[in-house]
Amino acid sequence: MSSRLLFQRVRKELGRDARVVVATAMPPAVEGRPDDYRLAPSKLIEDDHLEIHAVGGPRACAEPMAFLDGTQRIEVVGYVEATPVVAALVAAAVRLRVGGHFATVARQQRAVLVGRPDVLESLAGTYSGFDPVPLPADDVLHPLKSLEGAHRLIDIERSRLERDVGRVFRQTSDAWLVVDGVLADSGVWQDDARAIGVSKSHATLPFGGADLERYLTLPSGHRTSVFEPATWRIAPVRSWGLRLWPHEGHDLFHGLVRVEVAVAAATPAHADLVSSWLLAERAPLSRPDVRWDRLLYGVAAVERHLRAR
Amino acid sequence: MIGRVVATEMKPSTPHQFLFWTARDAQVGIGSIVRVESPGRRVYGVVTDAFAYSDLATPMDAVYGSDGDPVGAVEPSHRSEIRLFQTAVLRHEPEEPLQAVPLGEVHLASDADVAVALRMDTYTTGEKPTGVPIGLYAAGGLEAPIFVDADFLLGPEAAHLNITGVSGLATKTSAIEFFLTTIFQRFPVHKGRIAALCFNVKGPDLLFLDQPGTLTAEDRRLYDRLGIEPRPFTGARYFAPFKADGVNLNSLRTHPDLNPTEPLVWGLREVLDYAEVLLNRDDVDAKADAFIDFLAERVVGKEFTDDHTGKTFTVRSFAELEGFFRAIFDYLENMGRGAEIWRTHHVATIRKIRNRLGNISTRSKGLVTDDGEVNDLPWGTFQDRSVYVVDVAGLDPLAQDLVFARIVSKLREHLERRDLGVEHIVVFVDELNKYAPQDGQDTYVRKMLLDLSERGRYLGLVLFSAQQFRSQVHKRVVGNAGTSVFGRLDADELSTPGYGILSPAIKAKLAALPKGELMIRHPHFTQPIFLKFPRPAVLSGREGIERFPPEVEVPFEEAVVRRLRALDKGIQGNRIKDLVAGRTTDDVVRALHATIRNRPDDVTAFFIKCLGREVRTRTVAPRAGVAPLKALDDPYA
Repeated sequence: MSSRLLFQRVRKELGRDARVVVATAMPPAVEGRPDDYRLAPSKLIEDDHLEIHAVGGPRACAEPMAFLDGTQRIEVVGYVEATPVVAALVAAAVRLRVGGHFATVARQQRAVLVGRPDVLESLAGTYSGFDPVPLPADDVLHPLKSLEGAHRLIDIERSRLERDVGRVFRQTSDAWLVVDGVLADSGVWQDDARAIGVSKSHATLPFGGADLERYLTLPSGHRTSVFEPATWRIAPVRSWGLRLWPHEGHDLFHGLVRVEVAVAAATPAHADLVSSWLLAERAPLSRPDVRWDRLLYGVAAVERHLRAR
Repeated sequence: MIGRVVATEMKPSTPHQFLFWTARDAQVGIGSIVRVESPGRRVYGVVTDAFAYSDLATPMDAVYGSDGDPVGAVEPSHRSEIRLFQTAVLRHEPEEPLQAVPLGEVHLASDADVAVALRMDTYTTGEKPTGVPIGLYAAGGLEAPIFVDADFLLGPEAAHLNITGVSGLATKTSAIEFFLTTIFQRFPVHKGRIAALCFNVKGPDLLFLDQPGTLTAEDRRLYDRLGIEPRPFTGARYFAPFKADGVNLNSLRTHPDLNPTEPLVWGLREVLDYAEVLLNRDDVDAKADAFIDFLAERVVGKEFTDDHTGKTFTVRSFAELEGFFRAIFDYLENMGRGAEIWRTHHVATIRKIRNRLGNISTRSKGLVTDDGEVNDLPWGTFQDRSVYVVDVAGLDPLAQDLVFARIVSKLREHLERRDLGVEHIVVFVDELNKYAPQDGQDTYVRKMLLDLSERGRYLGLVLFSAQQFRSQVHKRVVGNAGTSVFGRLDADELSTPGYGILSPAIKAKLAALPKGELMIRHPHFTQPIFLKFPRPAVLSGREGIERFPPEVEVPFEEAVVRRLRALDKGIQGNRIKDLVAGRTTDDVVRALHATIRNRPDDVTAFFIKCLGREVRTRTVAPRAGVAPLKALDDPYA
């Protein structure tokens, strides 16, 4: 069943309950993912000061390479009194590239219904196909705050699904795996020397002051010194900034990604090698996606696959 | 399964077309027949166009992504791309209610699917099937015989076949020869007897239909798949006019090892009946018609007494007709200045008709005899599943028109009276754009072809025609062809409006169609279908000429011997030569034609009888005279 029909069905089912006011649109105030913007100075692992290293140009990885990403589709399906009920479809997949062509080798999907615990409890039995995910009990009774909280929970669900799919993939393959996002939030990749996290988000910047300026003005085709991000939650990782495209004429974040690898794999030579692979991954261009300057084509291929289903 | 139907709001499926996508390596292409499976509904279609595209937003993105270097750029991933096929619906099951094509699985059509898709199941099964195999549909490693409905190919429901293709690939002639083979072998007996009459209008194209050709193993496999026996037309008969000498045949099929070509010789009566053919547009008026009618009704073949001159005429030949005209002109001249009317006919009209009739007698001396002896096609005794070839390749265009008009008219007359010997006759005419052009003057032949194409099917008179440029043939002639066949076409022809209904992909395929492949339109097929056919089991014109080179033109006496030897192989050449020595050419030709026409048991005796008693020339001794006197005093004597 398509996601559109799935959402329609749950609306119809919930609409039978007289207490539910069916909704079909997300309030503009809470479209998109909430971000905390901050500086979190990191510990340099390579070099005494933050340095800039040329990575030697793009080189395609000769081995099969896989890409992992996840998607989420969120819709408000109704309100019970002033409390929103949010339905979401989260999915994650790994697509393995062999000979330039992609094949989906692992995929999982989950439908969740997010709401206040008492609301979900009262609606039990009126809907099907969705797993209830309750908001924290101390959620304030502001509908937009509840929606923001729902977003966070759904993000967590998606990340969990991505980890599960990655784990499933690793059981059958030791191919290089490019993960869209950070590795540090999961213990899955802690010892995986062939996992590469590529973070497009710069909500948290790893340096401040002069180093930050140096970090943000990194020339195209160069990387920073390897550092340990201060923001790791589950497992420490090694990271470096990499400029995929020249930022001149755009903005400081244009073409800038932060790469993460497992601690054990983080040698300067490995950082250069992985960086040159990622430079090669700039082509084909992932346009028309607006994030094309940081979105690798392989990751975009996974996203497109998940959104098409 | 090879793909799935896709439909979007912008490109929805309709009852008549749909899109499906496949893997990159799917064995499907333009012309492939597919089956869509969906619960409660099955749809058959033929691929008419193909698209491929990637997720590249603009070509500029490729330049940007490769840093402007299309060769050296590193691009580890191949872009996602789609193979999308546009398909025209052939048939729905169930037919009603007619709905848009569902989003189902797409499969390549099997033999059985092809039969259903093209509605062949309606005429290839049952108590009286009327299917005639015409070629093999092939796609994705599958092959299926294609049958056309004899009721729609040879009448009475629809009829006529027209084939178009560039010259030089021998596809048109080969296809017609193959079609005739299949028709003769598979035309249902319950529909009656059938024969074919082919006009050979150029070179040796159709002159060796009775000789086996060279077939490859693949050809034999195709014949076997179609259930057809690869064999030549054993009963083929050939007709050709003489050359101007009246004894050498005007044909490339004169090799002595072949069944002899029979002479086609017509007299005044045969020509006069079709005198309108000889008249150009300016000539055709009521006065000319009236005078021709007068000649035909009152003069030719009858004893006619002219009240004015008191003379009696018996006109059976061009020579006697010329005498008749001469007498009229003499009479008018004797009447003096101002005498211009003879029996209500103006002298100018009489002169015009005389010139036209005299013209054909002169320009087609080998076809039109001056002495009244005629040798014609076997009217009334046409044999079932036999081919009759009339070789007019060497004839003057005017004479070709005459031959064509008279033969088709005679066929029509006999079919109307049901006494031709067969109930159906296929007439094959090549170079149709010459005989029935879209532009140009309205000739008798074009009118007759129009009539044939519009009304022939009721009589069993079926036109198989061919031309290089369909766009240059009269629209009503090609439009009435129930079955249209297309070989390789050139781009100029494909750009004409008549091909506007074809997709660009089908046009591209037609422009590069290999020898032995065709596209066919038939009333039962809702879309054109591509098919392949084996080489005909007969000797091609080019091979035939190499294996059976035509006789060189031989002296008159030798030619007479050869013509008589065609009737009786035991003829003694020297005796015939002795017999004709000293005779006038006209006498010998007259005797020869009479012998050929009568086909006597004792050829020599009959020939001698026709020659008549020899009037020996008397040797006249030179006049002796009186010896001149010798002058003694003349020093120079």
